[in-house]
Amino acid sequence: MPPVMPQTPHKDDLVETWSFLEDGINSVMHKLEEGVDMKHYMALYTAVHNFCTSQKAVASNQGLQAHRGGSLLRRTRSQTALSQEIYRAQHQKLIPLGLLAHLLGEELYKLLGEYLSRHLHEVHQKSLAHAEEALLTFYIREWSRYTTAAKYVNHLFSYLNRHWVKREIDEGKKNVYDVYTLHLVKWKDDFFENVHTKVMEAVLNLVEKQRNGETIEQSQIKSIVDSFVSLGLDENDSKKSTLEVYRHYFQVPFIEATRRYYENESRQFVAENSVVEYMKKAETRLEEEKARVGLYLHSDATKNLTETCLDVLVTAHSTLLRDEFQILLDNERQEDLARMYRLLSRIKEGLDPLRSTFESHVRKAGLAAIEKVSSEGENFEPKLYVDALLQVHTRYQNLVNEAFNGESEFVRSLDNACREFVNRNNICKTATTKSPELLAKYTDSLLKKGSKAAEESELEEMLVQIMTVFKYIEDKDVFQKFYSKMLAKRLVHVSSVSDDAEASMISKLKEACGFEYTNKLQRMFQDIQISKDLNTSYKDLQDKVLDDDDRKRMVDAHFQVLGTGFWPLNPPNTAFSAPPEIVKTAERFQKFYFDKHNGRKLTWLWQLCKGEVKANYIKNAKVPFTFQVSTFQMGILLLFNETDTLSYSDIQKATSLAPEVLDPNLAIFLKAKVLVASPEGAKPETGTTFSLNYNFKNKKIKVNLNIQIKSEAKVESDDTHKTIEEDRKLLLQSAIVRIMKSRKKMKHVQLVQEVIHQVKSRFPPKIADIKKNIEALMEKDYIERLDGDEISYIA
Amino acid sequence: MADNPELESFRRQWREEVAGRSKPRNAPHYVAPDPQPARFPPTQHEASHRKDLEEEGPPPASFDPEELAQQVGQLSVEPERQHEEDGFTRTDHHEPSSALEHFERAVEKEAAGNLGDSLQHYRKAYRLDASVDKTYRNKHFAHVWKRPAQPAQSAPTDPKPVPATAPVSTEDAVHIPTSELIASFAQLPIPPAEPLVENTPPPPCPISNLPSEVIVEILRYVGLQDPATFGRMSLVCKRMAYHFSHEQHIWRRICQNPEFGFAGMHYTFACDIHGYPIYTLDGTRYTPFPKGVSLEIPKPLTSWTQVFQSYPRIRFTGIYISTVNYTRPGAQSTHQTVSWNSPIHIVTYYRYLRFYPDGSLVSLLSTTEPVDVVPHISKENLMAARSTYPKQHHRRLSDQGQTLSGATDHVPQVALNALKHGHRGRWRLTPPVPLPENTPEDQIAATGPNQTEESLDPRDLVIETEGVSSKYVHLMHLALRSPSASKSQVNQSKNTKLVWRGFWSYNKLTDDWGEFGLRNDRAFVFRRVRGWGI
Amino acid sequence: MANITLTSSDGVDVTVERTVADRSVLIKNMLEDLGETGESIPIPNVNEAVLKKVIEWCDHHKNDPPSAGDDDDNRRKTTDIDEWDQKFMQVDQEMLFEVILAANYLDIKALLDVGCKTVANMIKGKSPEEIRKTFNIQNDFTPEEEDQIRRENEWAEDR
Repeated sequence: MPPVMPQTPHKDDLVETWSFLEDGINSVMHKLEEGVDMKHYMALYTAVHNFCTSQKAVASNQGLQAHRGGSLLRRTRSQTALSQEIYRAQHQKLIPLGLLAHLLGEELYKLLGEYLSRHLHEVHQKSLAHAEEALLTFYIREWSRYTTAAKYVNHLFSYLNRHWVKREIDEGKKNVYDVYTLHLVKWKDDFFENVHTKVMEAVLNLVEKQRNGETIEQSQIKSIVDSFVSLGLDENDSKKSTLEVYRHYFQVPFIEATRRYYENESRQFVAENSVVEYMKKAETRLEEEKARVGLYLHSDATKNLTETCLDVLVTAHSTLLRDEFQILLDNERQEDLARMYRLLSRIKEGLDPLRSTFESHVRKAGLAAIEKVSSEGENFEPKLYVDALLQVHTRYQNLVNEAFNGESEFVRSLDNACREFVNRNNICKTATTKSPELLAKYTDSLLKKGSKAAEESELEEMLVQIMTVFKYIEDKDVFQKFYSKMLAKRLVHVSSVSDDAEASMISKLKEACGFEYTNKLQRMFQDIQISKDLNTSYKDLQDKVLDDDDRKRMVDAHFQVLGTGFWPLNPPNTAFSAPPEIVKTAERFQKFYFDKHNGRKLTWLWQLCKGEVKANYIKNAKVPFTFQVSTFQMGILLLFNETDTLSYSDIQKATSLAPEVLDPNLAIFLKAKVLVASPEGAKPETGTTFSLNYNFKNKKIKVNLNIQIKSEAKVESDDTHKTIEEDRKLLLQSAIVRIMKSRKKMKHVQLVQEVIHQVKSRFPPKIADIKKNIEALMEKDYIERLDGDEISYIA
Repeated sequence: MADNPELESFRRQWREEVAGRSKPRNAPHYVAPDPQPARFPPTQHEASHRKDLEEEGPPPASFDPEELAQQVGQLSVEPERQHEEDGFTRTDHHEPSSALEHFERAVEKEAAGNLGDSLQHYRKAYRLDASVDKTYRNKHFAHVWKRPAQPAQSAPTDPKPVPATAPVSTEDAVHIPTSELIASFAQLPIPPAEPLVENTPPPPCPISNLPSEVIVEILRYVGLQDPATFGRMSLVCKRMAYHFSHEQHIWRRICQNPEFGFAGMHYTFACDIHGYPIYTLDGTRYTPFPKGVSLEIPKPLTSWTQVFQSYPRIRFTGIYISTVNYTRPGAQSTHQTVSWNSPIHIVTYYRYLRFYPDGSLVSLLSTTEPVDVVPHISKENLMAARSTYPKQHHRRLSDQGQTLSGATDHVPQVALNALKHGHRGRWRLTPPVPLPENTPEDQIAATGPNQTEESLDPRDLVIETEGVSSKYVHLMHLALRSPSASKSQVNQSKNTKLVWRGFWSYNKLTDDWGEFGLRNDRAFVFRRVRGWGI
Repeated sequence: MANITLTSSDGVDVTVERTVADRSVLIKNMLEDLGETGESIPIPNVNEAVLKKVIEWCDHHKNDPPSAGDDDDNRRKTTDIDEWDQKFMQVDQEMLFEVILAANYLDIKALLDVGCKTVANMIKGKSPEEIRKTFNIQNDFTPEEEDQIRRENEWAEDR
């Protein structure tokens, strides 16, 4: 047996309809927990529907005659006033025709609004009895009850929403909302406006309690926030919501309270604790506030809250923090440095002052390390120097990565500092070219056979480190010079630790400085390879041409043909008459080579040649000793095949060697006791005679006599420096010509600028040098000076 | 000319009749043609004086396609018959025999602008029955217009030209302006019909039970389907008249839609000259009333109804026709000296323009009468006519039942013959506001030689069509105009006329402009065609 | 899903699937608000014949996707009524308008649309007099009024 359907009101009667609806809304608003039955629900909806669709039907019964005259207006109830308005509006042309809505529902809408105002007034009266947390509880309970009811009423009045309200909004009427929104608007106007101050006080007190470490009912604040957010309605589009209400009534006071709270707290804390402790505190607080947004605030608050906290906790104390930076650097407090970085990186321009401090700190550390190296005297190992540079770099690079998050600006500061101490330190204070020279020597020591870094991977790592230093070197051309000299030696003497390592190094340089930089180095490699092939085909030829006798008399030889332009080698600085055995061999090869390559010129670099001689004359040796000697030495020793004793002048005459070459080599023989001087202990000079020592003894069977002579090394280094100056001059001149050729005309100042720009990847040119070279080119008529400080290219 | 004696006798008869009717005024003498148009049937008058008028200067206002259109409008106002007629359907194919039938055919021809044929029929009608015009009036206008004087301009025998404010008498009876009259209809019910037999229950009228919101919903569909039917709804009853005027949201929607409204207007070319779409990267074309944003009614207009009515708008529901009559003298008979007896050939040709919402159009220049070709003017038929032309019989035999896009099935040969000379093209209006730079590359000098975009006004229409060969592009520059206000129609359609502003041919190979003379050409007038766009 | 019982205005119970009943936003909202109590739902404004007709439609359309918003873009093709709906709407005018009223009352937007489209199609292309005849509407204009309105709205004919 279904319950009795409530009698729906007469559809034309507004009073009856409304009182029926009001009863229904009342029970929804106050007794929803008791439930609403379907009959009532349908009856209420139907009452609204019937009212909205009613009057036309009524009109159809009586309206017919009334308007027959054509101009007579039918006036029903509320229509009268409206029609008059229409007339006025039409005459005054004020209201567009569209405003003449003819759908029904306005009365119900107004009555509903009035009902809600009354209801909310009562709610407000009740709220006066509550304060603080109790008020929040009250607000939340009433809000939840009200919004739930609003959802019901919205559905019950949905016919009104669908037609009358939709039309009003469609036609641009302000202050008409769908029924649910009407509830919110009324809540805001008639209740919220009266209580928001007290509610916010309660909320802020709760938050403060939580900041002080007490446990609070977070969900209460969350509910309040949600309510405030719901009340934000877009005036232009009731379907959209804005955060205006929430921002204005919640966020503003909340942020203000936050600022006050942390201003006080940080001031006190700083006064009583160390900076390091304060940083920890600030970081914790920032984390807490970030979490607070997720716990019960609207995500919109994030930015504002964070900025406020940073302002109060970091910006306000930034000077204090920065003052601590040097101390933390000195003590290498990486963790605290990281913390400081994190804090200051979040405020505007917070890190800038730290960068310069950091830069000068690194520079000082670098200089101090070099100081230590140089204090050990002139003759330190290049490795010591490079290691010192690398150590400082590595230490601070780690710091940048670990504490400063690898931030690019700090990386730049680190680079600046390193460049500074690599190029301008105690050791290279006389010449900036000292750093590249030392670096090149260190590289040579690694790549030469017999270096200690045996492991290939280890070697590769060290090459990478070399490149780290290389990056900071300003005089890259100096490095190139030394490097190619030493590479040439390693190649000629076949003393490279491995081809792979050499190639790896060259490719690294190429990557850093480009093809131009390594072009010659690569050509040197090519020459060596070509020479190998040449020797093979030479040997093949000899095997065919020579009979056994010839072969026995032949010196077993290996030849390297090196392109003059690519190798940093000079012809011998002394005359030399090679022993006939060698001459024969050399001539034979020369013939072979010229057959192959007509018109080429070969210059024998005797000073770089070496060989082995077997000492068959020594009495006590079971196996004959083998001497590893230079060609010069060979020339001397082979003289003793004819006689046991030779005078200094005999030797000099026979070899044609200059004394500065001859003397040291004789000295080596004497020292090794291969020859014995007479008188005993005499120096190699005119008047001394030399005899073979038949009683030569040595632990090894192979004896290396081909030792580099100290003075040679020194001379070589000086030569290199000299060629660098010469090369720079050429480099500058070619740059000038290149620029002028393309620009034709140029101001002097601009030209200098452009030249600096073009050569700075090789070395930092001095302006005076550039000017000198411009003058030089003018003298050579490449360029000329025009009026007004302009320079012109002469084609 | 063979029918010359006939024409002469007709004219004599005609003059006698006129003289007899217009007693207060001087009977026109046969010495010279009377340039006063009102006393002659406009067609005959115009046709006979066409030559002189053309040579001496601009034609008098009385002969103007726009007037013609008004007359057409008046003739077709008659509600019972004309609501869906478009004048392009041959209803009777038998030759007219009675005087009235000849007169009706004459009116039809005249409406179509074919003055030569019209003249023939008028002549036959009057020969058969001297008072045929009266019969005609009684048949077609008696029950619409209370007084026989109503169809002023088309009643040739009326003694006095009807004053400009002809229907004022009806207005006198109504004391309130229309807007107030309509406002007074608010909330009136839909009145059910009275019983057919007294004291029996009236026939059911369930529509009267609908609440406004539902009626409005129905009207919205009616309006979106066809604004013309929506307009007719306003004549059903007062309630509907009220809604017609007050449902601004319907009008706004109509304005926004592409079918009838401004979303179908193009302000940059939307396709190439052959009607193939241009794909633009951004894909957003300018439209004055986009959906989904709140819109302001453009000043100084105050309602969406007005926007729809008066904003420059191209119609897709019919054809634009420019009818051109020109005369050339025939062989002079030596024994005849009276000037108006000289034989005159009236040559009538038509320019047709059919616009499509996708920015394409069909342009056709033909002597074929509207009734024979208009219903068949379409892009599909144009292509079909081109492809079938040389070997039509072939096609019919070989691939029977297989038609090119099904278009040519019911197209008469006469239409096909006309259509094969048609050109495809594209059109655009001038944007009411300067558009951001997005000129398509293939656009030739957009507005013709010596013109810039700035010299255009928003009512200007630019059309490019194919030329006589592929190296030519024809460029028409037209402007939308409203028919000049007529007395009997206070609120007629606006912007249904296209007046010429220029016509050029552009040689793409040589970059040369050639200008077409427009001495004879008349403005285009819009006519609805049944089934187009609805 | 449970069945729902609806009671027509003339007291007849009709049982339908929940998904069918949910086509009515009114019923859907109510069931969401109140939960299914098992009691029958009174439909005070709709009689048995109309209710059954409406339910027939709802049953056929029970799996339709929910209409996307209330913008009429998706309904723009005003002449489009699917075949089933066209057949469904082949009823006498009284029933047609009853169905429209019921759809309006029960908030079944798609059905209301179909109904209104059907009526619109009945109007399409007709003269005022033909429209009056179709719906048995009396011409309540005086001839002067009619003339005045005609001239006022002449432009809409777009000739």
